Amino acid sequence: MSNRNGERDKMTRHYWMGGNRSYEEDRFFEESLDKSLWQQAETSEQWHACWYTGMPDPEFFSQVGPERKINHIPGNNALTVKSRLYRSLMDLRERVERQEEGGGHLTDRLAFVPGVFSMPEDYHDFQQAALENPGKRWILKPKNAARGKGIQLVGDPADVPMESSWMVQEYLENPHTMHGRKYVLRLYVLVSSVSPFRVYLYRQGFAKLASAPYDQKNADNPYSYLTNPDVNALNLEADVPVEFVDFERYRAWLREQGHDDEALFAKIEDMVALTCLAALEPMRERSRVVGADTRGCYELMGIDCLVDDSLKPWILECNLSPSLGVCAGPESGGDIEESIKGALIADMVEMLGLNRPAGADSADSTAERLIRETRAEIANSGGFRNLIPGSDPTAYLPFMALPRLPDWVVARALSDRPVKQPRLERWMSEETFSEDQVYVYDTRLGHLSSLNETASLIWLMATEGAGPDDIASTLVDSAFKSMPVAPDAWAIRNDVWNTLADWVNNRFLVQSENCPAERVTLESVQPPFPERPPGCRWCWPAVAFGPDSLPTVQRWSIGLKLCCSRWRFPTRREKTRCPGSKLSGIRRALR
Amino acid sequence: MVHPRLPLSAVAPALARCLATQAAKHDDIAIDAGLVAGPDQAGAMFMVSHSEPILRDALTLSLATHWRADYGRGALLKASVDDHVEGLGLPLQAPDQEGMFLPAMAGMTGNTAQVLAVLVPTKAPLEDKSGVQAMTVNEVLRHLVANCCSEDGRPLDTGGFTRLADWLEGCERYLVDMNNPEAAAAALSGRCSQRAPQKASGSR
Repeated sequence: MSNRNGERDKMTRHYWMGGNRSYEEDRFFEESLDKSLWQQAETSEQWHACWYTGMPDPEFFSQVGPERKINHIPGNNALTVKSRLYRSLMDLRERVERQEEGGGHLTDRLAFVPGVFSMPEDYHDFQQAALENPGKRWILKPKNAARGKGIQLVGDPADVPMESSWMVQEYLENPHTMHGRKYVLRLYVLVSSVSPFRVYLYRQGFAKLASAPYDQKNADNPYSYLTNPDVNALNLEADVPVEFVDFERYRAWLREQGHDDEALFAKIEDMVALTCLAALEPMRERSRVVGADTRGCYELMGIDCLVDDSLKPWILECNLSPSLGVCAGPESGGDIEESIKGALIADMVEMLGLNRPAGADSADSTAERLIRETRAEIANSGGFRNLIPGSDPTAYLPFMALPRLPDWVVARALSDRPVKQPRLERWMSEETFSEDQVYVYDTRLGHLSSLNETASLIWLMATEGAGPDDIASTLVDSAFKSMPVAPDAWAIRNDVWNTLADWVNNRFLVQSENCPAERVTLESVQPPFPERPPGCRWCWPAVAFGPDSLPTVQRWSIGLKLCCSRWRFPTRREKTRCPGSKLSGIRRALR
Repeated sequence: MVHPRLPLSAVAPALARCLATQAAKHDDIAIDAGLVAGPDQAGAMFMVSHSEPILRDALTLSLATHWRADYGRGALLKASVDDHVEGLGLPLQAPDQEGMFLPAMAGMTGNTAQVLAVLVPTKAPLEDKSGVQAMTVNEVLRHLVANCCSEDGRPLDTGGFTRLADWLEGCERYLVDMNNPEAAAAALSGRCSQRAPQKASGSR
């Protein structure tokens, strides 16, 4: 908020803590706020920072923004509901598998979640799977409960309930054990921003140990196969029913055992990044539906990860509003637990900038602001390790349905090598043309949609191999010729990236691993790109695309008969004369 | 299972829909649409889109009444027979009588014939007083494709979609004003007997 002189208000801001949890668990947030800047709000409406345990009603999100932040992101249930976590990861895997045309190194990285059967729709599939694998064990879980409530091994598959509140998960039989006991790693993961997508993993966390030995004798003993502290606290026979080992000690122990802890945690980081990516589009979509400005949303999750006896990590579940209470006794890791959870929240508050006075408006462009904010956040990340954009900002772009413009701009700026624009190809779609329009047929749902003129152009260019910025460039060029004032290039560019991403989400298109070979050939015969028209204030090609993209823009303009903002589609006869692709026609035009 | 937990009155429509969409084998295309025999051309018929649920079989039955022609529901565009469709002979829903079905006529069941025109009924009045207006392939596709299925009731794949579009290019295609069914019946009868070339053709 600015006053009349354009200066930021330095008045005290208000925080509010809501939801369903004791002060004991929420106190770290309050303690982390700078008392000279913050005081508790008197009502649930007047806050600048809300710390809410559990998920608030959608109305909470209508007022969030850069200066009103809440610790949740709409659509987080794509991860935090157990059955949806599996579905989200399978959707991601299916898309990536298609991108790689049947599977490959990217797809292989997504094999870290045990199979899930969600009731009632997967009941018959589960019965079939149980029949085909008689020796296999399964675990029954409520879809949306916490603290180990209701979890049990399946005795007889025929007894599995069909109610929609249940799911069955493949049981991982061969966990790595610590001192003979099964353990699960509790990872603290922060999604600090949806657009651009930024994900962090806290360097500290805990191995949560079961309280009974993991052996044949205890095969059906829940204190042996469950690691939830709330369950194990009830084990009266154990000397130490709840034991937490922090990551520093856990990793030291791994090294003592001759294991490569660096390699394990590298796999864990990759698994966490990919898990969060699986929820990116559901988060975007749900935020759009509830009207949330995601600049005011972040999410701290507790991810449970099992390590098997080959030191492969598996994701078991993602917990919303992870417990911040101290579970273990002082001698069993409780003191360290308290210090780690306190530091976790303090580092998060610092990184999100809640304790910094609101900054003055700058004259930066949108792209410059996004890059500056990302760099500043990473620089202030304390005990958090940045995974996305991460040390190689291009590494996770192929896992996004399509990077949105902010992701693309940030990745280009932070990458130390040139970044190629993503290309797209048809997936579950087929198009048909009329004189001035493209119709897209959805082969998955059997629907036919008509695209407007601009969307038709975007579709045609994208399916012929043009990158999103190439397409945007053509549209901006066109707008320059037809509009009396300079068009908002960023807005056009953003719309193109979003339109294409929406089509990928609908499975009309998919990122293509292979750039068209013809394109490369064509570039070698390109004449120099002509001078831009005088008075042209648009400077993307130099700034954002790099010089290589300029001929591409021109080539596509020719391909679509673009002339003074009017263009037309190839007729059926023209298409017939140029079998396979309009590119061959374009090549003739250039010659 | 066709559909769970249906009220009794909804069983027959669901069953008819199921039979109409599950009829395709291999590369056939099943089309849930009305069929009515042409007024004076033996072996030719008209297909009526079911895209407007409220209109359902009203146009099919209206044309059948005007032309005293056979009618039925459900068509199979067979992969093995070029440009001809086979009538499935499913019952039609009687207009304004919820749950009442009229059996298809024998002449429309299991017979293979050429489709003269695909018709899309509309309640919106047309400017053309003849009660019919030519449509492009793409316009008709928008109405028809949602009622087309390949084997096991699956939506058409790209090959099926292309084949359907190509087939539509060989048919005449009309939007039909349901406010003026007499004029439309007369116009269709005249136009299709002349077999005039389609003017407003869409291209693929």
